Amino acid sequence: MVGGFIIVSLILYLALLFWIAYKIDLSKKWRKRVSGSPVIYALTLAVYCSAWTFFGSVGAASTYSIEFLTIYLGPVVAMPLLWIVYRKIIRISKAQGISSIPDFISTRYNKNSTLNKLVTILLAIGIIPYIALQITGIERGLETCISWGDKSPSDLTLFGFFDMALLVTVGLGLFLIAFSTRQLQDNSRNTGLIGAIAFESVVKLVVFIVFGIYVCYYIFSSQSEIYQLIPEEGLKLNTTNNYSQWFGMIVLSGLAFLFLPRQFEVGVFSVSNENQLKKAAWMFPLYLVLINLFVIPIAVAGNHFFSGSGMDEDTYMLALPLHHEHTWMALLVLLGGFSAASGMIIVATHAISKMFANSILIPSFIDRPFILRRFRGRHHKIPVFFRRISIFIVLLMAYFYYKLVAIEYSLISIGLVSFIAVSQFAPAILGGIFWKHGNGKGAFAGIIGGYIIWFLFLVIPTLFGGGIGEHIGFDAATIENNHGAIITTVFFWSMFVNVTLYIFISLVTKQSVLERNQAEIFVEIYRYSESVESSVVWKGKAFFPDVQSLLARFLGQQRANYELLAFTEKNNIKLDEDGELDLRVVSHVEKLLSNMIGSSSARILVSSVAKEDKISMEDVVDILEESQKLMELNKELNQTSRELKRLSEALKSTNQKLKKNDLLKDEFLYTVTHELRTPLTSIKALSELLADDDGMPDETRKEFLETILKETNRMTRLISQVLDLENFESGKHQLRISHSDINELIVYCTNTMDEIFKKKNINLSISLDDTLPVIELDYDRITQVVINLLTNASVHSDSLKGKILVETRRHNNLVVVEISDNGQGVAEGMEQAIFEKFFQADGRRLKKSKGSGLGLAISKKIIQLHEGKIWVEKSELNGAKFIFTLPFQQNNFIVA
Amino acid sequence: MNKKKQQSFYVFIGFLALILVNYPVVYHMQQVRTGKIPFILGYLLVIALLVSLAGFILEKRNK
Repeated sequence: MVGGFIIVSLILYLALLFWIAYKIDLSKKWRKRVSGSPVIYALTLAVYCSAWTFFGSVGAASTYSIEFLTIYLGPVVAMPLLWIVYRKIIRISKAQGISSIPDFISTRYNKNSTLNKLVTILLAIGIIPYIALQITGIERGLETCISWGDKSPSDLTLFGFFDMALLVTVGLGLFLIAFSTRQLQDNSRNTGLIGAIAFESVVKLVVFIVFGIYVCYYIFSSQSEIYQLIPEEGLKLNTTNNYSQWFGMIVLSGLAFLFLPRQFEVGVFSVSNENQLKKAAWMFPLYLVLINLFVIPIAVAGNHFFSGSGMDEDTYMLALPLHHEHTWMALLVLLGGFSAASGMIIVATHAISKMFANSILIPSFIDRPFILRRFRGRHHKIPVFFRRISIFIVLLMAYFYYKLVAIEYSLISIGLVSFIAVSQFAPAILGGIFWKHGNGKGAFAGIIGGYIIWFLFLVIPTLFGGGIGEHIGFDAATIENNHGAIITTVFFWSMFVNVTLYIFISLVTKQSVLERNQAEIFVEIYRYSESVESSVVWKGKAFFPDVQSLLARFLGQQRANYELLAFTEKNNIKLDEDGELDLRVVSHVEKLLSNMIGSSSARILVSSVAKEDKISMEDVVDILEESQKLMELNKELNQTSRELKRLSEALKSTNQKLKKNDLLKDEFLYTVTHELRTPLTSIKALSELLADDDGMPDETRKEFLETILKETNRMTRLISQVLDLENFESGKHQLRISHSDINELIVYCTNTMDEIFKKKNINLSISLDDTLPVIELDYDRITQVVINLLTNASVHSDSLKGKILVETRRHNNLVVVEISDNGQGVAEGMEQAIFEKFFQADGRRLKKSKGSGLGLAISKKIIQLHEGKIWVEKSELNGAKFIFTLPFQQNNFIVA
Repeated sequence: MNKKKQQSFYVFIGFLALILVNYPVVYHMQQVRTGKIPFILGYLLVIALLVSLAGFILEKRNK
């Protein structure tokens, strides 16, 4: 493939990254979207999948081993812990203004700057080879593409002078300078950088899936055709791969996933909301599944075509399309691999350079006269300056490591060596957030002990090959050929030494006063996160003008004033502009500076303007007690506030209920008076006619009198029903309970209604359960209910061929009575409403009934007083079926 | 769901996943042969999907 074309493609891709980051940084809307999005957060975690995943996984899988999957099974298993471990770390980091792993460890352990420097140096030693690995991945990709088909080694230089890997390194360095130092200038997160990383995660995933489909369904006809190429021994673990190796690799990759600086950078320091972790907890395992879906088929295909050719297995991804002369596909894969490698280089370099600048460069040079002179009046540029220097130092070290060492080894070997280095910080971090007794001396000893094992058994053989390595145990060739077994052995022993030293020394040595305070805050962060400022263990004197001037040097006058004012107002601190400053303000200023220049530098600067006094254990106890009291007070206030809110809501709800009842009462009165006025009007009219017309025929007179009597009866009935209902609702009415046979009651009621049924040509069927026992009920009231239901049934059943079915049966300790008709039934949705008083009162009635509108409401009350239930369903006769239940015994009434 | 319960669920899922991808189980699974596609790949895929699904359900329940 033409080298120039590849270079142009890579430059265009880098330009696209610049454009995305620039656009995001420029737009407030996009900044907000990117920093608050849980999907973007989950995608940035995929920076875990680097060139190692893209090219190295296929290389490792090409031996038909599934061992490479442990690198991804570890994070899958660790993902649920994200909510437990990362959430706590995020809370601590936000409360304490921590912005890197060394800051985190040193802040927990006595704010020890030596520990801070040590962790920085060791992390850089552990991670720089890993960055070099990515450069190796890019270089191998370029070499494969450019030199494909050439017999002589190709020239990987531009114009015969510029090394392409160096050019890529410089390009990524420029990207970092442009976008990773913005945070220092305007206090925003590195949103553009985060957006670009999320974009790269999408690119590498899409390319991998497209390439997998290409191999499985374009080069071959199906996945199963590829799987048939797997020899009989199949996808089996290496014979040397035993329990400890498999388990060790899973634990190692799980720890590396949690504590790699690049994961920490995107997972802890770039998070804007803890809830983003919840989405990442399921999206990231899904991402890993998708990106690994085609690894085995691609590896098998690679072996099929290139086995025995001496080709480097890590380049199978590119060799496959090049072998089939599909240049565009090869270019696409190269861009995918470049995206995977560059994403990792960008984030890892950003993290390491931040540590390097904050822990080593800035503390060493910040108070040097030549630096202060150089940046007079614009001290806020100092961190930016050192950060930019650090970026190039880190990238150049990685480049030289790649040139001298990494070029010789497989991608997986280098990656795992770095994994073990990073895992050495796990005991100090996990112990720091879960164990109050862990102290700085223990952490120091543990990290050093673990690193010595790592250095002796992995780094020395890598650097010096068969020399010193052979005497120690493992030489470079062994590491290369059986890396899994060696990696897990070294991992086990380094962690064993590390954890043992950490625990043992923490138990036999004492914590300092400050350390004890920090341990309390770190372990109990959910209790203290609201009041960390009040738990500050610092004693001394500082004056407002000095502290303000210090802050203004780095944040600018305007922002410094704003920060101080906002903090003092929030915490009700009186600010005396000429006098001594509250200790909480000093601590807050240190925290603000820590965010910019790291905890070590911030501490140096603060101590330059404040006179610190020695603090005693009594002071710590007082501070912690005070802070505890404050928290309890806050808790009580919150509780009271919640209680008041609840009471206010209850009051509001009661008020609404009362208003509704008032409305119902008005409607009820209106309906009752309306129902009374109709018969009264006709009684009055007929009475007037009778009074005025003496000569009225007897027949007409009789007819009028009968109507008057009928209307009077109707009024009497309505008034008695209203009174009945009122009695039931107010609880004045007591049931007169007796032992009765429900079947006999039903027969009595149907006999009473017999004449009406005959008149209306209604066919009545009765089906009674003879085994029903005698039960306790108010005979008259239940009769009233049954008569009411039968009357309703007779009114609503079919006018020509009316049918009514009355049934009784037993269900557990209940008697069930069902009365069905073949009328139109109850309209859907009205099943509850028909049991309300004057069901038409609130306008829900579809058709005015011929009754008073109180019958069903009274029936419901009577049944409820009997501890039974009444409801309506659709009957088998296609009409309505009213069902009520009565218990065998009444508990709440005295049997008459 | 309160935070403690939520934490317990996450720990349980992680622990279960760790058991399911442990050597004795994987060793047994790699010896199973069904059809043309290796069974072990399908098995590990299902475990990862299960972890993802459990995380998804927990997120939706706690929204």
